[in-house]
Formats: sequence, C-alpha cells, structure tokens
Amino acid sequence: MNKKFLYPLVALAVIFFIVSLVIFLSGDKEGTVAPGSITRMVPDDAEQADTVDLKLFYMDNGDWRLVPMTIRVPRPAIRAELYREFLRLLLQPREEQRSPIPEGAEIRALYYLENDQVLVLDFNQELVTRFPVGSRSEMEFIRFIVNNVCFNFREIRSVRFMVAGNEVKTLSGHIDLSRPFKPNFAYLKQDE
Amino acid sequence: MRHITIFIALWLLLPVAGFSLNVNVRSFDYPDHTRLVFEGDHSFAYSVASRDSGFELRLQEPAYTDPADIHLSGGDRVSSVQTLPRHDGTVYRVVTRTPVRFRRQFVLENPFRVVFDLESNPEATPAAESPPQEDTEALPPKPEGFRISTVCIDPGHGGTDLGAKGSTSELVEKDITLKVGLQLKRLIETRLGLRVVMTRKDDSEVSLDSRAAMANNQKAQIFVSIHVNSSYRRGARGTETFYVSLEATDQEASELARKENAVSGGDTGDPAATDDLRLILWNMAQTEYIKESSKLATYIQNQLNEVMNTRNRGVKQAPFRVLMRAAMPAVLVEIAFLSNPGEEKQLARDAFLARVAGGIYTGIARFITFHNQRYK
Repeated sequence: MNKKFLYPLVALAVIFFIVSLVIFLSGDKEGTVAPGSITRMVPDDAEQADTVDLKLFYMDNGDWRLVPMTIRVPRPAIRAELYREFLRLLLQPREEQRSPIPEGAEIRALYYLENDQVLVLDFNQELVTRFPVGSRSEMEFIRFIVNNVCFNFREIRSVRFMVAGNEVKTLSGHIDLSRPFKPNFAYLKQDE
Repeated sequence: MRHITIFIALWLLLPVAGFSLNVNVRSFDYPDHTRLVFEGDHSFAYSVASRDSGFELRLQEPAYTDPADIHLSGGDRVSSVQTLPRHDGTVYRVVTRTPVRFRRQFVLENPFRVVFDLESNPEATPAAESPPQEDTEALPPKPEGFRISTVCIDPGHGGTDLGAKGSTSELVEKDITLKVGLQLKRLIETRLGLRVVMTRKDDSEVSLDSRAAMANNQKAQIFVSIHVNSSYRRGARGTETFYVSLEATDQEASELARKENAVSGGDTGDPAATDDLRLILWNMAQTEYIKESSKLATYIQNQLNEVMNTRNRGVKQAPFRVLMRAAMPAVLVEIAFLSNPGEEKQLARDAFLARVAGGIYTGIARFITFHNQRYK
C-alpha cells in the first residue's frame, strides 16, 4: 500500500479504536430521561388492569402548552377500541376545556398502519367546511390531535389526516396534509 | 450486548470508512428541468467535463458510491450515472437520454452537495452514437442565473376562498393580502427594478399548487406568500414568518433560525420558534433551498419587527403546502391576527398595510444584496 495512505489509515484506526472503546465502556443508557423531558403515557404498562388511565391535553388561555387532564376508562378487549374511545373523549366538547375541533367534526374511521406505526384518522366533511381559516388554527388542530394521540399510545409514531375517505391537501389552505405528522411533546404541559 | 455489537461493527467497517469519500447520487424531475445532486460525506474538489451524451463530474480523490445509493427519478433527461474509478480520482459519468445543458450549478453545505439543474437543449444535435471523448474541455461551473432578477409575490387566498375573517368587522384575509401584495410589487419594480410575478392580481381564485408552479415556470428566484393569521386563542397576536420545516435533517438551518430569533427578540419561550410542526417529509422542491429560505425569512421578519408595532413571533418552520413545491427560496409571512380585535383594527388601516409592504420590501432587498454579493 502507498505510504501516503498508510499513515492516515493507522491514525484513523487508532481514533476508531478509542471511539468504539468509549462507546463500549459507556454502558447501557436506556431508560434514562433527559432533564426536562416529558414522560410518555404508556397505557399498556398495566396490561392486566381492568381500567386504563388516559391523559387528555387541552388548550389553555394562559399557557401556550396543552394542559393535562386524566380520565380512567374501562380497558376494551381490542386496542383499536381504546384508540376510538380516546378520540371520542378528546373530540367531545367540554365546557371547562378549550378544543380546536370545529363543531360537528367527527371521526368516521381510523386505521392503524402497524408497519409504519401511523394512525390514519378519517374525519367527516364538517372538519373542512366548518374549519376557521388561518394557519395558526390549522397548526393548533394538528398539534392537539397528534400530540394527544402519540403521547397516550407509544406504538403510534405519527398521525395522518383524511377527510370523508379522501386525502386532502390542507384544512383551510395552509398546512400540507398529504403526509403524516410526528409529535412534539414540548407542547404538552407536565403535571405540577 | 448491544455495545459489543457496535464495537465489532465499527471494526468491521474500518477498512471502508477509513479510505474514501462516500457519495450519494439522486435526481428529481421537474416539468422544465432535472435536478441532479451529488452528496458527499465531506466536501470534495471537482471539475466538470462535457460529453456528447451528458457530462462527467471528476473528483480528485477516491470516492465510493454504493449502487444502492444512486436514486434516479427515471425521468426523460438523466438515463444513468456510472462510477468510474481512475488512478487520480473518481469520475461520475452522467448519461442523458436527450441533449441537455446546464441551467445552473451550485454547491450547498451541511451536508456537502454539488447540484446540477439540467434542462433540455434543443439546439444541440443528438449524438448518442458518438464514442466517449475523454479529453473534452472542462465546462466552467457558471453560477449565472443565480443573481436574483425575478420575485414572485403570492397574495394568499382569493375568489371564493376568503381566508380568515374579522371577528368584529367584514374584513377578509384575501383583500388584505392583495392590497399588501400589489404595494409590494410596486416597491420592488420601482426601487429594485426587478421583474415581479404575481400569482394573482385581482380577486381571482388560484389553487395552492398552481401558485408554486407559476413561480417555478416563471423562473422566479424568490417566492413570498402573504397571509393574515387566525387562531382559536383570541389573545394570539403578532407577526411571524415561516419557511418549510425539514424535520431534523437540516439542523443548521434550524439552529440559524433559532439564533436569529433570539437576536431579533422573537418568542423564546415557545418551542414553535424552531419546529412548529414535525411533518415527515420526503423529497420536495424546497429541499435544496431551506437555508436560503431561513435567511430570507429572517431578513423579512426583522424588518417587519422594526416597522410594525406588533408582537414579534419570530421566524418559524411549518410544512406550508404553497412553499413545499417552490424551487427557490420561499417564505410565508403572517402579517397579524384577524382573530385578535386589536390587530383587526390595525389591518383595516391602509397606512398599516403600507408599513407592512415596506417592511417586507426592505427584507427582500436586504436578502437580495446578501445573496447577490455571495454569488457574484
């Protein structure tokens, strides 16, 4: 081998050895939570229990984050039923909570794509026809649904929206809805 | 156990990783051109040589490209990209189906990419049968065409699409965006002498996808979409400028926006400052322009912040459909909130809208100065 390449190669080998040794010695860090991060709700942790605690996050006038409220529900036999029940509770109007869901908007169907870990939510047409136009409103709606769903069901990594069985470009002319959305839990307020 | 595996894997990879530059090749097809991107895991020196049936990118160092890392869109311009090892480096031979010419060529950093925009060359005679010419004269990488000469202004909504509505008045977003857009057009034409393309000049309805397509077809080099905001929170107020989010694949652009938000006094308590919505993105026309777009957004937001007496919400990212298909630096300005009664009153005043147009204009002018100096 050309000597010109030999010395850098030896140097790289030494660096590689040191780096890999450091990784090896650093030990298993799984299970640690970064300071300030939010702990996800994991309903299936207590798989044997008859009930399950769901944490619903709502909009709050005084905070840019969504504030939590815990609800205990009977555990259904089928996981998809738990999704459905969770979304029914989330979309249900509550006097004491603010929600970015337009009146009359309902979920027609939902599908969990296991391979992609995507939950597809198919809303009725009212979601679009009654949606208050504005990019911020669209973001608030998407953030509300995606963060709530992904926080409560760890197997769901992203959420995709459909309307009346069809793909839609946007809700009211702004945010692209043709692809799934991932959560950002920084928008969720932790329990005090 | 997992770390033992990593340890062994690193050692097995050593012979490959230690030697050469890794290059990933991909292409995207647009109606009027094909974008071909060579992405290295570090920067590399290169030259370009023309060939009858395409061109060659010649690297002055050994490079490695796994065939699985060549992703061609299969359009009617680029046929194949071959990797040819040479004693003094590596040659990437691009074979085209029809004669092409360079519309433009440029380099992007982080990661290092050499980008070619190829368009059909009707003047050239097809010479697919010609033998390879190894010693053809190298093409100088011409940055021509990258000086900004055309700006596309997109007044949001229009026609039956009213956009946001005032909470206490008859004000609608489509009228406000058109007023600001037309004033901005006059400013750019008269003061900068640039060509301005409007996606709409009146109360007509234009689809979102047509707006970006118009800008692309007219070869605009800047795209500015003008909107008025609305929120479920009545207290929401202020100005914000968006560019497309690209998840975590362009950390530097996000970091740039974050730092510049901090400098310009944007919202710092809100995580939306850097990553408003995490859309999972595949390739899109805007991908190559994220950094330029963040810069443009910062210039405009800073100016708006200076001329308007509203809250500065800062530069943010979100997957706006109208921006994703624009093949140029593209931003979306949310002037103020129609859902906020105080800002609704301001939006009804022509003097306020003139200030907005002036702020956007100055932001664009500063971006153009920065850009043209960089690429002259």
